[in-house]
Parts: sequence; structure tokens; C-alpha cells
Amino acid sequence: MERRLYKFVLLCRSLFRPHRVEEELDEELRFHLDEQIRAHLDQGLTKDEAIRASRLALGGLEQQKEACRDARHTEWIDHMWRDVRYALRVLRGSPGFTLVAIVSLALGIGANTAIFQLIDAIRLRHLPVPRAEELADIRIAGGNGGWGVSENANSQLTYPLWEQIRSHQQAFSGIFAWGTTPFLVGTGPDARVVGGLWVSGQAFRELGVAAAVGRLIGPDDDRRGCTPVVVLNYAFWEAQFGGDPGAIGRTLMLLDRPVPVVGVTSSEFFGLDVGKRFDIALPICAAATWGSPLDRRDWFWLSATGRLNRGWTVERAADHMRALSPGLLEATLPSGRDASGLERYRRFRLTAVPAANGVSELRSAYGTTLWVLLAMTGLVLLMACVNLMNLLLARASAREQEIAVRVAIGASRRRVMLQLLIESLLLAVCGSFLGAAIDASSEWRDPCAPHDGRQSPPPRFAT
Amino acid sequence: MSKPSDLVQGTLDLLILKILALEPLHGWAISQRLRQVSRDELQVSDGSLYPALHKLEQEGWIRAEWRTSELGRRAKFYELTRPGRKHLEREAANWERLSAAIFAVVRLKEA
Repeated sequence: MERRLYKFVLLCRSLFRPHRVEEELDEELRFHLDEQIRAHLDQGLTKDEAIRASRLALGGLEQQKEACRDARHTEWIDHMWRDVRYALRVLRGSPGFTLVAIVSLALGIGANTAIFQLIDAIRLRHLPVPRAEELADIRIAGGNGGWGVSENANSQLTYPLWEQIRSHQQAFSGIFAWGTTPFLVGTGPDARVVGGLWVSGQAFRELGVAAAVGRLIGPDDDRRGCTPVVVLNYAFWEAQFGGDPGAIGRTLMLLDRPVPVVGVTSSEFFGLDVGKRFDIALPICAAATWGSPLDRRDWFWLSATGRLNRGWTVERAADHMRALSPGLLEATLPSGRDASGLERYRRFRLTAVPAANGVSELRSAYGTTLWVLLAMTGLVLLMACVNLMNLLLARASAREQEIAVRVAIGASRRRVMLQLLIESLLLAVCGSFLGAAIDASSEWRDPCAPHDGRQSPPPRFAT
Repeated sequence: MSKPSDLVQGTLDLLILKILALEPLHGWAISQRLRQVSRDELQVSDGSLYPALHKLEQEGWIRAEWRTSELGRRAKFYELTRPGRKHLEREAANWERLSAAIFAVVRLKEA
């Protein structure tokens, strides 16, 4: 350990104070030379003979210095630095080529990075909830095929079906239901449509969402015949109430009813639908307040998500749900339908799918397109690289003479290759920086971050 | 020891370390001491002494310090570090084993 520290100190000295090191080397060798001369003088040689003999004994001052420098093993840093400077000079000498190379690399890299960020935000990121990989969605395999009335792409289940699932399922340690819907907030000319989120009583608890202010919707808020309360999204609270904690207790005008605000979610939680953001959250039972009968058996407006039991996989949960399906569906058989409609309903089978990445209309609608886009930009980058390779090859054949001279005066193959590699590396680094700059300055924004000008999270680079 | 081969270079390092184990010295004094102790048998060419010293310093076995010599001039004194002392012991033991083995073979009597 002590050794390594000392070695490190020596290395720093050679790097940052090379002149001092050189001076010391010179002084040390001269001291030896002088002592040697004096010894020869003492033996009786003349001054000139003494000097000559000493020089012979030591073997030439410069050669000695070179040998000592070699022994220090810090040469490679010096070489590398010199190679970089030389590469810069060479590149500056042909500005047209350098510009073309850097720009084509930058465009390829920039495009790739942008698409990758998009895909990352939509497909690859997990929900910002603890242990998101334990979450699974319950849905009807293949969807309801247009049977009955569906609210939107997130609508998988009816309320009676949700009640049945909740009481009979055994695959999940905790389960909750949710649904998205637009909501009219405010009155008169200020009225706006915001994103609403229905949640069952256990939802926030299961998701591990904390309250930034006040409290969140809990099991007591979600009973039949409840009075509605509303929980705000953090960004919505900042925008509408200026982040004022006194907003708790005030009422929000939803459609035509004043609803009391009881709390605000923490800032990381944007909802369960990637690409959409919720502004207000209400308990599911509150849907009845605005005239939606909870017991309608043909209105699909909820999704159910749960945390898998320990040791349960998604496949096992899916099998479990499929086995339960006939019983649950029979119990929720809607009335007033003809025999074929009922038969279709009975044929539904429930299944479970992983929900760590959240559900997303964006993802399902554009999923494959995004991958295709990534492949395309990848090919563009590949073409830029091949182009560049051709350019470099053409230049290399023009530089044959220069390289021949270098080899003739003693450069090893390794050093020549290293120098050429450093040139390419410089081009690559400049291209990357330019690409990153293009990417950062473009209008790209994370679709999951609030759209009111807050800082989006730092982009992940694919370089 | 005119041109240092691998084996010879290794032994030179051992000799230098041993000399420095007794007291800190500068380069010239080391070469003098070597000549003196080996009764002129070992004539270290000065051309290989300084690279060896610098390499040993780089490895961390010896440490350098600028002091005034006996005659009043500034000189670079080297001294053994603690890891260097351990390294010296290891290498000296190796050398003794090696030379004993060689000795045993050389002393074989013809049958």
C-alpha cells in the first residue's frame, strides 16, 4: 500500500512537473561525472584524459538520460500526449475531411440517441414505485372484443367483475383497481379537461406512493355510497394552487360538484399509464356520484393490478386467473342480452401480464414502430461509419510516404498504429460531443414528465 | 556486467538493495562501495547503474532524497523503503537457494 502510494506520487511528478524531473536527472548524472573525473585526476591522468575516460565510463550523458527515462516506465503518457497533439495537427491540416467526418458521425449518433431516449422512456423504464417487478395486470385475454361499452384502452374489467376478482383471487398479496378518465374541472370560462384517475382503496398503499401533503385515498374512502374526495397530482397542485399547503380542505369544482381536496401525491408518481399523466385521483365509488352505476355489468372502465405473492410467477398467476374465470364470469353475467352475447361473455378468460413498465397506450400503439425506427437510425449510423471508414482508407493510402519515413527512423509498428488510432478516436469523440449537443438542444421532452416546464430527468445516452 | 541481460539485471538490483540496506548513499558512492566490497571482482558499468536505480525507485523499493554530500555538494541520496527491505530479504533467500543448487551440480564428481 505504501509502495503504491509512493509510485503514484512519482507518476504525478512526472506528469505535472516534468521539467523538475529532467533537471534532477541531469544534476544527478553530472554529479556522478564530476566525481568520476576527480577520481581519475587523483589517479594522475591529465584533465582531458580524465574527462574522456569518465565520459566513456558513464556512456554518454544523453544516452544515460534516455535509459533512465525508459526505466521509469512513465514514457507512455508522454507518448500518448504527443500523439494526441500530432493527431490534432494532422486533422487541422485537412479541415474539409475533418468536418465531414465529425458532422456525419454527429448526425448518426444524435439520431440514435434521440430514438433510444424515446424508447427508454416509453418501453424500458419501470414505474417509479418500489419493487415494480412484482406488479401484474389482470385483463381479459385478447380483450373484450368490443363487447359492451369500453371506456378506453385501459378498460379491462367491469366493476362487478372487479369485486368478484377481489374476493376470490389468491395469486396476489395485494390487489387494487384503477381507471383513467377525463374530468372537467372548474366552472365557466376557466373550465378545463384534466386527466382523472379512479383508484380503489388499496391502490396507493399497494403502489407505495407517499403523500407530499395531506393524505391519500385509503380503504375508508372507497365504500359504496361514499362522498367523493380528491387527491391531486404534485405537478397539478403546483400549477393550480401554487404549491400552497392550504389547498388541503379547499374544494375543487369537478363537473358540477365541489369536491374537497384531501392530499397531494409525491412528485415522482405520475400514474400507471406511461405517456399519460393524471391530474386528480378519486375513489372508484365516487363514480356513482356523477351518475355511473357501479353495478353495470357491461361497462368496462377499470384495470386491476396487484403484487404477486412471494414465489408466484406471472405465468402461475395467469393460470390461476384462467381457472377462476368461468366462475367469476358466471357470477357477473349481465342481463338483457341474447344468447350469443352471453355465450361470448362466458368465453372470456382472465389472464395476468407483467405491469412493471406500466401500461401504455403509446406503447401498444407505437411499440413496434419505435423498434423499427431504432433499427433504421442504427443503420444510418452504420452507414455513416462505413462512409468514414472509406474516407480514412483513402487518406491512409495517401499517407504511405509519411508512415514509411516514420518507420525508417525507428518508430515501432505499435506506435504508428497507436497514432492512427488516436486520430480516429479524436474524430469519434468530437462527433459524439456534437451529437450530444444536437440532441440536448432539440425539442425532445420526456413524455412522462409534467408538461409545465419543469426540468425533465437527464437523458440516457446510447453512445 | 557490460550488457545487462535479464538474470544479470536481477542480480544488480539485489546488490544495490543490499548496499542501501546498510546506509543511504548516492549513485557514485554505491558504485564505489560495490567495487570495494567485492574486491574489484564486480565492476558495475556505470551505464547500467543509474537505469537500475531509477527502476528500483519507480517500483517503490527505494526512496530518493536530495541532501548535501560529504564534500558539500547537493546529491541524490537513495535509501531502502520498508517494502524494499522485505523484497530484499525475499530475493536474497531466492539467490541463496539458487546458488546452492548450482554449487551442488557443479561439485558433482565424475564417477
